Amino acid sequence: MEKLHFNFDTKDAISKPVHVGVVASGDLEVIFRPTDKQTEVNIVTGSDGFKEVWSNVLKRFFDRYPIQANIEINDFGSTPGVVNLRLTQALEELHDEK
Amino acid sequence: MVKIEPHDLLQISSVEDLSGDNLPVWAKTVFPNSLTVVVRRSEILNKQIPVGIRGVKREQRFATYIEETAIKNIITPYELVNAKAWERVSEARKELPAIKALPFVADVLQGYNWGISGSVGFELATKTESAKTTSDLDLIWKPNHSINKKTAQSLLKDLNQFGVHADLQVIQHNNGFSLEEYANSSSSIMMKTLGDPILVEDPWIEK
Repeated sequence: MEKLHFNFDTKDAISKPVHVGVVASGDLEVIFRPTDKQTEVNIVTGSDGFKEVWSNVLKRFFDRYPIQANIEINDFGSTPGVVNLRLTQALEELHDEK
Repeated sequence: MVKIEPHDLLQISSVEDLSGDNLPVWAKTVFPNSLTVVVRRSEILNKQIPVGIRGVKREQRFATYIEETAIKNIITPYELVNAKAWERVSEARKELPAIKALPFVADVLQGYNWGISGSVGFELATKTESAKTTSDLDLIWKPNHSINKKTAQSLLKDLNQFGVHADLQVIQHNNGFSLEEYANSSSSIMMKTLGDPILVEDPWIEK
């Protein structure tokens, strides 16, 4: 098990918390929480040694969607494709029923 | 040509049958014990079957391919249920929460077309010790009718009362989704496909 921590200087504040994904092999849970501090991503992953991959996936995400949030990710061996989809899904939930 | 589906376990003759020469070190030491690969949910191109090999640790997974001709035997997750494979493990292994739960889970899923995947399925099929005390019980279900969210919630509740987290993936042809996500969803859910995963509103509608 590995714990990863990333910070980003993104400024589009989110207005409500969202939670997507499930605790299951090959999947992950993603929780976005509003924050007035620097954007922070904390990841707990069962698959060690993928810091570089996470960094790339997150960088691409925040380049495109510069949200300011406190993000918690619990990963159970998901692929980058699944990670991208869950992040996109969390964004969609943010814009839903606003 | 035989029908091969994601989650099927394929026995092969040798490490040499795995394509590529960049196998991790653990693969060469652990894999020969089982000589069994798991079919991944990905396209079969040029008769190259996408498979994964598993090691002892969680991060020890490696994606590769085999030729169809390399297959010696196919064990499906559904066969393990029909054969009640959990009755044929040692008394010590029967004490693992994920294996201990199986006879009870089988009662709950009576009449369902279900199978055992994940580390438990791999252990039952290969007789190698793969499941751990902390292992979840990964199950798959090929439905012939849809169920509503309320029924899904109650089914998951019934499955999760035996001391282990049971995860049920619903199989729709080549696609699969998590019953738990469906049961608790308010909007879209993730459908795993042979390509990239997609978000769908209603997972029961065939795409």
